Order: sequence, then C-alpha cells, then structure tokens
Amino acid sequence: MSTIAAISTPNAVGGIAMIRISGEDAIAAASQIFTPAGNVKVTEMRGYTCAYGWIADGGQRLDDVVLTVFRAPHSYTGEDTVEITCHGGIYLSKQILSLLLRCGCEPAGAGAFTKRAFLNGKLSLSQAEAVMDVIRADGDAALRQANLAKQGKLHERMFEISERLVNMMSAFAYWLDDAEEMPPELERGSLLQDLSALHQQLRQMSVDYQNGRILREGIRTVLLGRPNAGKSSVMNWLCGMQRSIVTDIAGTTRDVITEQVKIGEFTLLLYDTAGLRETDNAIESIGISQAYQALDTADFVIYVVDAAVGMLPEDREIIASCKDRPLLVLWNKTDLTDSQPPELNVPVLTISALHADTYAPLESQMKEIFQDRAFSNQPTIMNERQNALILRAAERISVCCGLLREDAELDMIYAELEDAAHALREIDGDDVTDDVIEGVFSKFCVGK
Amino acid sequence: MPEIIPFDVAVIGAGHAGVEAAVASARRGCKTALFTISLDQIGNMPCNPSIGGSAKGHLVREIDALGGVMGEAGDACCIQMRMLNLSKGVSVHSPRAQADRRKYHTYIKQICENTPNLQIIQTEIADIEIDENQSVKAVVNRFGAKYPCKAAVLCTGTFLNGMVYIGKTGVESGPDACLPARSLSVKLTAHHIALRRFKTGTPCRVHRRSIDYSVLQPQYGDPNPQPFSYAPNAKVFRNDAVCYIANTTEETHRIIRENIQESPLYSGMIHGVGPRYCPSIEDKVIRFPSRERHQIFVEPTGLDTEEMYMQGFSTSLPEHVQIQMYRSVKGLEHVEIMRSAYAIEYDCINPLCLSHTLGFRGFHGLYAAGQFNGTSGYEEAAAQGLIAGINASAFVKGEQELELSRKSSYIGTLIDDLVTKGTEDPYRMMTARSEYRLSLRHSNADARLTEIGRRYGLISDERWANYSAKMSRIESGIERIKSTSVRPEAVNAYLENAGTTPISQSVRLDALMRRQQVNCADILSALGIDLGLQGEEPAEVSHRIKYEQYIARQDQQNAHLAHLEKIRLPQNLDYHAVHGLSSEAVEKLTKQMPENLSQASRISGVSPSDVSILMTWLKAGGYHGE
Repeated sequence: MSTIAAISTPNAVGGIAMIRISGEDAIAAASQIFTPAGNVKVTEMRGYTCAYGWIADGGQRLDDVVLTVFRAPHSYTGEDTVEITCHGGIYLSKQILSLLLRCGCEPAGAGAFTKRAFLNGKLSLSQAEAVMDVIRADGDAALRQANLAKQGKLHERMFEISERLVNMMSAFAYWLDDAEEMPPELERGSLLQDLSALHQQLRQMSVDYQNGRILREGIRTVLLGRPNAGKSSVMNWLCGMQRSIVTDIAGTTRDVITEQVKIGEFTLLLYDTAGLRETDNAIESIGISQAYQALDTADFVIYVVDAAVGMLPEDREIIASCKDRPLLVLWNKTDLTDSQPPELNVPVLTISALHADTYAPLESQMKEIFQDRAFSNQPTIMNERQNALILRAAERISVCCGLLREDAELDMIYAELEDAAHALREIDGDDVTDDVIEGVFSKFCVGK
Repeated sequence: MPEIIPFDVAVIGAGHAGVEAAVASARRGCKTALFTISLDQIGNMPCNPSIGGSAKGHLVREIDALGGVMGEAGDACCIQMRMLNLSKGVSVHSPRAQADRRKYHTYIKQICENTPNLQIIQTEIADIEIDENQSVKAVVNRFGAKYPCKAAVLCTGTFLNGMVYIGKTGVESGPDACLPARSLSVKLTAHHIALRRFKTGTPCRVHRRSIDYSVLQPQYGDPNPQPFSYAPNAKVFRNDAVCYIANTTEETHRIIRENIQESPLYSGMIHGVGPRYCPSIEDKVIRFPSRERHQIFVEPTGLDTEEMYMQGFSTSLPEHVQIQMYRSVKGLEHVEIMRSAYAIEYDCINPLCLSHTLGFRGFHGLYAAGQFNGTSGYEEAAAQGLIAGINASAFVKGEQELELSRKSSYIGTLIDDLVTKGTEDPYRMMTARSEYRLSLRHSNADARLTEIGRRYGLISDERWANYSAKMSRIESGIERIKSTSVRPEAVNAYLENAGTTPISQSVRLDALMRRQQVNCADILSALGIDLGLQGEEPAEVSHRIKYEQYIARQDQQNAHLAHLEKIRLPQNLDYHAVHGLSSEAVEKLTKQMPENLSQASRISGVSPSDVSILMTWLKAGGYHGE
C-alpha cells in the first residue's frame, strides 16, 4: 500500500497541530523534510521515540517540531508511522503536508488511517466504527459506550449471539442431513423457543441502540399543542435563554431539525414546528397528519396546553395517540390562571413559559422520563448500519418462527436462518463486501 | 517382448472412482487402461450394500446427469428404493437404493468389458514414470512390465498400504480380504507426493436366519420408486427387499466401555483419522455417553445370499467382544457372524495438492480421485472419478478441462471443498456443505448438468433429445402458470378445502401455488388446467414455483461470493509483499495459489479481513506483475 499523510488535528488555529504519515515510506519521507537538532538519524529511530528539530523547505526553516516514530506493527495503523507535531497554524501545517506530498506521500482520504488499522487486522470493523464514535461522542455516556465498542466488547457480544445462532443452525443442518442417526422428529417446539429467545435478544439490542442514540445524538423532540397553547413561547423559552449554544443544523439530511438545545445533561433536537405554528387557526391546523409524520421518528413529545383553556377532548385524543412515546404535558400560562391540570396518566409540568427563568423543573421531569433509558453498560450497536442488520436478522428469525408454526418445509426455514446469520456476521465485517467497507470508512473525518 | 501400444489414459484402481474415470475417458475416445488388483472386485461394495442416501443421492443423480455409470448401475441392481428426508423439504430429499452387491459388481464389470477403447487389466501397479518435465510417461506393474500412457488417474481407494485391524491385531490387507497395494506409496513419496493415513471401518455381516425379525421394525421400499437415472427408459430392478431397524441397549454400551482398551483406535495402534460422520459404534458410545441407544439398520446384501449387513454397527473391537455386543441387541440374541467387523487404515493424500480439475499441481497428466483424495463413500468417489476421467482425457486430447462451480452441483462443491479447504477426516458429502442447497435438488440435477455432460460427449443423442423436450415442457408449463390469472369463483372451493384463505379478486396462479397449503397438482386439476407434463415434471414445476423467492434470496446472499469469484489472483503473486496479511494466510495462500478471491476466502486460515486486504491491495494496483 502507498504511504499516506494528513493533518490529523482540526482544520483550525490552535496551540499545536499534528501531521500523521503512515506506510512503508513514512519514515523515509519524514527524514527528507525534518532536520534533527541533535545527533539523530530519523531512519534509525526506534519505535515510540521522539526527536526535536525543524522542518525546512529548501533553505527556509518553517517551524520547530517534535517528531515521533512508531515502527510497524506497533502503531495505530499497523504500519510504520510518523507524527509531526508543529505549531498550530493552518497555513503552517498545510505547508508541511504539501512538503510531504512532494516527497511521494499521498493525501489520506477520510478515515484512511483507521481503514488501514482495520485492513492490517489491528481493529475489527465494529471497533473501527467505534473510533469514529469516540471522536464524535459528546457526553460521558456516549463516550463510555463508544469505548466499550472500541475495546471490542461489541465484537464479543455479537460473536456470542451469532455463535448461538450458528450452533442452532448446525444442529438443524445436521438433522436435515442425517436420515438415520437422529430421532425421527425434530423438536419444532424447542427450536421455536430458542429462536424466540434469540429474536428477543436482537430486538433488545435494537432498543438499546435507540436509547443509546438518544443520549449520543440528542432527543428528537416534537412540540405539539392546539393553537395559542403557547408553543411559540415554549420554543422561545427553550431556545431564547441560551441563544449562544443554539446551532443551526438544518442541512443534516436525516432529519429536519432547526434547533439543538441543552437541558442539563440532555440534548434536545427540536423538530421544526414552524409550519404548524403558521396555520394556527383551525383545529385541523394542529396538523395531525403532519405531526404524525414528525412523530414517526420522534423520541419525545412535549404537548403544550393552555392552562386558561384547559384540557379539551382533542388534546386527550392526540395525547392518547402518542401512547408509545415518552410525552410530557406542559401546563402552560400558569401566570394567567390558577387552574390545576386534570389527572392524567402522563407526567405534567406546570409552567409559565413566558416568565420561566430556569430549566430545572423540566430537567428533573426529563430525568424521570428517561431514567430507564440510560445507557446500559452492555455494549450495544452504535449506528444505523449495524441497527439495520440487527433488525434484518430479527426479521428473518421472526419469519422463521412463523414458518415453524405453519409446519413449512424445513429447508425453507433453514434458508431464513442462513440469511439471519449473514446479517449478523456482516455487523462485524465478516462477510463484508468492499462496498460495505467503503461505506463505513467514507464516514471518517480525514486524519483518523 | 512385443511392442506395447501406449495408452492415452491409465486408471489405477477399479472401485467406484476408477470405473467412472475409465468409462468416461474411454467413451470420450481415449484409449484407456483400467488396472485392478482383482478382476473379481471391480465395482465392489466392501462396506454398505447401498447406493445413494442423504446428499449422496444428489451426487448419484448428478453423476447420471453428466453421463456417468453409477445411476444406471444403481437402478439395475436395486432391490429396494426409498426417498429419504421426505418430511424435511425437497432440497434435502435424497434417493437411496439397497443394492445387490454381487450383481452390482457383475453389472459394472460388464459395462467396462463392453465399453470400446477400454481395456481392463488385472495387475498391481507399483510405480508411475514421470519425466523431468513432470509429465506422466507410463505406469509400471509389480513385475516390472511397463504400460506407456499420457495420463494417469490414481484411484487406489483403501488399498495403498492397507492394514486391517480386528482388536489389537493388524494384518496387511486391502478391503474384503483383497491383496493390498504395497509398492506404490514409496514411489509416490519419491515423486514428492505427501501421503498420510486415514482409517475407516465396516460392520459384521450376519446370517439372515439367525435374526428374530418379529422384534425389529421393518422398512419397505417406496410405493412408487424413483430411479436414479434420467435415461428415458430408467426403472429400478426390484423394490421388494425389506430392511429392519434394531437398537443397541445399555448392555451393548457396557460391553463396549468395558472392552474399549481392546480397540486399536483407543489403544493407539491406529493413527489414521476416521470419518466423523460415519463413526464406529465405540466412537458413538464414547462421544455421546448420554444416548441410551443407537439405531442399527439390518440390510440384505443381495438376492442370492443370506448375508445381512449391520449398518451403524461398525467396530474394530476383537471378535469375542463383537459377538457379545451384537448379541446384546434385541432380536440378535442368537446372531451368527459370517464376516467380522474390521477397521482399515490406508495411505491417502491431502487434496490441497490438487487443482479444481483433480489434476496434481505441478504435474502434467497426473490425476486423482476417490478415497485416495481423503473422501469416504462410493458416491463421493464416483463423482470425483467421473471428473478426473473427463479431465485426464481432456488433457490428452488438448481440450479445456472441466471445473464445476459450487453453484452448479454438489460435485463442484465437493471438489472445491477438497482442494481449497482440504479435509482432516474422510470427507462425506452433506447438504449443509452447500450454500446453494435450495437450488441443488436431486430432481433438477439434469437441468443443472446435462448440457455439460453433452459438451464432453457423454450424453447420447437420444437422451439429449429427451432432455431438451423435458426442459421445454417444464419451462412452458411455468410460463403458462405465471400468465394465468384465477378468478375467485374458479378456485375458492379448492382453497377452502385445502385449508387456506379464499381470494376476493383475481390472483395470479403462481402466487396461489406459493401458499404453503396449496398442492400444485391439485390446484391445476381443480382448475381443469393440463400442462401436458410427464413423470417427474409436475413436481419439478411445483418446486420451481414454490422455492423461487427463497432461491432468489439465497442467490442474493451469495452474490458477493460470485463477485469474489470474478477477482482473479495472479498465479505468481508474492503474498509476502502484501502488507497486513496474517502470517498463516501468507503461508496458506502461497502454498495453494488460489485462482480467485472466492477460492482464497474459503481456505482455512484466511480470514475475512485477509480477503478485504487482498481485495483492497489488488484494487490499489499493488500487483505489478513482479
């Protein structure tokens, strides 16, 4: 493989910047641009050692740097690697990189270093993906989870699950093949039981993932309520108090989210409900159909009720239709009335959004709502690719259970099991096509 | 000494592999010699008197579709025919024939005798002459007589340095008290062909009259026996023999455990590796201590003999223990043993040294097939023999050699497994070995392989015409079904009767046929549709429709294998130069030089990440032809 180089620190002005080179000629390339201060030969440096010196372009001294050498296979990528730490100017680090490219290095693409680590057997595919998640993680829980995956715990758990499936399959296959030795009838019942348990476990992993995603990426939150319930003031309350950290992340292709806000340890991704606000003049304008659409992917519903108007049948209807989603009723405008919220089987927060100056009550309500959804310490899947595969495997196994109950042909049932096993093996990069690998690594930021 | 006219192909050994190899080669126009230690043992069945069985029945039908002899001989010598695994799905249905053992030998011998270009010679081959270009020049017998030839096929079965064990006594012997082949091994080793020891075993033959059948469970042939052969006039010889099922007892197991040290296997005398899937009774008792009983099948060995074969009861314990344990089985209390059970140990190769043609890598014109390649079973042997015979003759004729893909057949799967994965114990075919199980039915072997057989000159004009007509009837039948729309009133009575939901609007007939409860023949007759199909054809149409979606998904699952198949690996590739490959992968890849990435991926010790590395490396242009 060629020798690659990239600036590994963010493309911004900072105290220091780091340029990483990996590949067969990494050390030779570095030695061409680096002049050591002492009596050191870069090409003779042992692994895990540093040298101080400077980078020169022709006669011109660009910067004082520290150079660290890693010898294959004891490096991140498993190849000879050099890291040059320089002062953190954008122009300066780019100059150094272009010198390296002139010495024959190739610019590293997104995720190229981690891809090499994977290809050189230093990381499994799920570990490699976890590296990406460690970089992205904001918050302790997400980091803990990403680290579990990075340490290979996810790999172990997946291995355990697919082993269970494969064991079941081999017993099944043996029975399919052996016309003479085995008992005359396969225990459909016990097979069904084992498969249902496995199905349950896979579904749980997917649920863990959904919960994990909430903490890692934020809670997808929909703000609903009848006209004049005060959604706008709630929105302003949520965004206004912390204008400085509101980020505009429209353009994220997956969701249409306009606001990202922090409520204590929670990150809320507020769905754009502007459209709903503009047509605030008829009951239909609550836009049930549109709201349902947003609801499809929502993790959390904040339902705003005007305390002065009280709870109407329509409110109850909508609340009931959100039954399988965490929902909080905001009993709003308490500054205008003394009316108390009715008895509801969902949590209620009384508030005057217009005058509220703290998130504490909201935060404590959310803690209660989401307490069961905290990160499990079990390693779980980390991204949509893995989740889709888990769900595919779960689906195949459930089809399989159906076929077993219907007394379908056993070779058909076995084919479903094979498909499930394929899906599970793909999670960890076993059986991966090059497309899958490309897909995974193209999501990396350059330099890792 | 008169001048000897050289042969094109010399086949060494006339068991099930050798016979197929020799007949195929001769039928393809090559002057062929078939060498055997005893003319009276051609096509012998030294173990079970049966052809076919789970997955093996698939092999027999594939052999027949390619133009081999085993299917025809199996039908002609059949005394009971059964379709196995009927309750488990059509892809694992597998035909099995109880065969008259002596008749089978005679029948096979006559086929050989009556095949033009084929000369059968009784002698022991002791050497193969190979020149400095690694080309086969001649085979030489024990007495020094030389038979010049252009290609040779080694089908030595269990004869090479055969040692028969009963208890702790080992004697030099081939199977069924034949002479062993004692000279060839040394010469093969001198040609740098590495040999190893495998073992197998066979149970006792007992006298028919000494069994109490009243306490055994009888097994009869199928009411409508299905022959192996696709030949237009194929039919089974007879179907009236009865087999019986007996069971071992606690007492049997106790006798075995108490005498286990008498077994040459457990006392360490036999070092050869035995078949995992066809273990001796002592293996079964030791490996599955919780099983209370093991099934024994009592099978006639022929119509003109009183010998009964005891399938599942093979052992190498001493004879005094054999009689005790046999008599501990209900119904066998007074059994008379006519031939004792024994284990046989023999020389064979690690098939990793072969290529997909079954030719030895690094040699010209040297092929191998059968138990010599590390397999077990007549059917596995015959399948390889046929391919080796086709290829040895193709080599002589300068034609393209035949390599069957895994997708095409169990034969292709068998050979690919052998030459890419190797085998650590005598290899037995199982349907689980194929990732294409759903499409490799026994019943569609003709659709998969007849054209290949025809291309290699093994399918007669008559059979070809018959096959072509059958395929076009099946295809037009399916087309008609798919273009037929059924109205509710025409079919609801049938559907309700079959226990499935009636329809409320017109539905395509194939969609209805895919329903679990719908029987294709019944629904067609309920609708008054006659597709003009014959014999096996209605069933074939039904399977194709019912399994269509499953097969599509199976193919999708395997699509990346097909993709890997297209990525060729240079034959002089220096794997040490590929960074990141595990050292085990480098060693195995260097040794085996797979032709493409798909083969590489199946080599044990080559991990999926090794495959990714190779793929990326090739893509990145890592290979510059150095």
